[in-house]
Amino acid sequence: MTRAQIWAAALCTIAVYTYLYKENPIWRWAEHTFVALATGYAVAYNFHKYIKPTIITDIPGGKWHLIIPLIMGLLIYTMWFPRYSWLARIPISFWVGYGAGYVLGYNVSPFLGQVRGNFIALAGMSGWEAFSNILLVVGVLAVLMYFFFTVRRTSAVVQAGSTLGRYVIMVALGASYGNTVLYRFTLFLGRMQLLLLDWLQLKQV
Amino acid sequence: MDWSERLQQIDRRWIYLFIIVMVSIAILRPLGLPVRITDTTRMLYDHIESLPPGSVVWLGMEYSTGSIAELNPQIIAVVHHIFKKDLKLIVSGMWQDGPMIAQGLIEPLAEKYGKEYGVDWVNLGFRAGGTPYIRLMTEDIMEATAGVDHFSKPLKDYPLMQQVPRLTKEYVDFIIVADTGTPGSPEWLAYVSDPQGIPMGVCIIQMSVPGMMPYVQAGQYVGLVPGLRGAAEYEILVGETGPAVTGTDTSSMAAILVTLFIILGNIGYVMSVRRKEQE
Repeated sequence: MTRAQIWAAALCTIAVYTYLYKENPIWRWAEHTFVALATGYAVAYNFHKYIKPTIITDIPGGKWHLIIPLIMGLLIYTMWFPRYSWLARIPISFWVGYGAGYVLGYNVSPFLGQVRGNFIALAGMSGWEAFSNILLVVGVLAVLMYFFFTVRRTSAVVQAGSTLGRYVIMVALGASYGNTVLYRFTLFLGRMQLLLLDWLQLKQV
Repeated sequence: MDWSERLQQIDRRWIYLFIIVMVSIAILRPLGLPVRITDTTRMLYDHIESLPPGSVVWLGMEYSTGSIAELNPQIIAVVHHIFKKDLKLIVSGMWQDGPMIAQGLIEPLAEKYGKEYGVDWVNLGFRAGGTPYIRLMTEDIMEATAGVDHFSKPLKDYPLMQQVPRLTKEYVDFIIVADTGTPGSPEWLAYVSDPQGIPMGVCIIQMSVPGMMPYVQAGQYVGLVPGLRGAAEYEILVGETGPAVTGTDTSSMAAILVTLFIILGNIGYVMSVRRKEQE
């Protein structure tokens, strides 16, 4: 980054972090500027990369079939006109139908891979590895029991499995929470590195 | 008010200030804590190491600027490895910031290793459409990308893209996805890696690690680089230590601080509950 870019990034970072003290106009300015820049970038990028080339180059160049998705896309905007808003259902229904079929078609195989991943050896390996594999299989079965709502939980086995499943879920949530905290700190660390090393140059990297 | 109540009512701004001071000290005076290489990072490293020179590696840049602190060091370390091994690199993105970030990271490395754009690496840029975009690339990259790269230059002029007309096992040897959300690596697995049989590895943020480990466990990902710590591990493996190694020191310091605060907060809570019970 150039010095000017580093200065801009540093000042914006400080502006955002002023929120830690309390909400203030500097923070609001920084937030609104970010939203405006991100939106402007997305609109400009998509216009120049897709809309403009499609209308100016592709369709006149012989790709006439692109008119169909173009019209379908434009029909979405009929939602703004109550009299014609029913037309918006056409692209939405196409979208939902295609999306559902597409997702179902492609996601079965990776899911089966996950199931297959639980068919693991429980014996004939080192003690720790065998313990890990047993823990994994027991954990999966317990969590499945926790979400087993089709029968009453009167059986002691189902009750015990369900309770164990709840604890397994809590451990997983704890691990997720710990990782989330660490991730947020890393983001903060990145900003502090920018401020201390790149901007103030308190230490040569 | 006794100390257990005071402990629970510390103004959060003092905690922020304390963390800022401690993190600053850790950045300026690193402790040099040892970094142990985790198995999943080594698995990804070993897989790239096993690829013969000239193999094509595809990098899916599925993140935005919000995650650069964790993912950029990972990408830098992995691209070091790719260029050191004389592998070819193709970059794409379903997130519009991704390829833009990649360009800034890869350009200086390509210059360092004498890699030529179009011959050794290409940035296809962002394309809207999400998963249909990457799936279409398995049929025809030119069609999916409208025949142009990140700079809107024609792909047919690049020798690398003449060599790789489709994103299939026949032309692409390995996929790495740098991921921070949806669409991300599970979509790459479902729509490209699994149907095409192309091995895949991931570079992910720390927060995603618990959710992604089942894919490694099931053998669907050949390796996984976890957060900044993973970046530091990869930097050590490729012999290019950089900001991630220093960053893990600070990250460890932050983890210790948070743990202490949680313990202190809980001690204060338990003490105040007991005191109320006694009253």
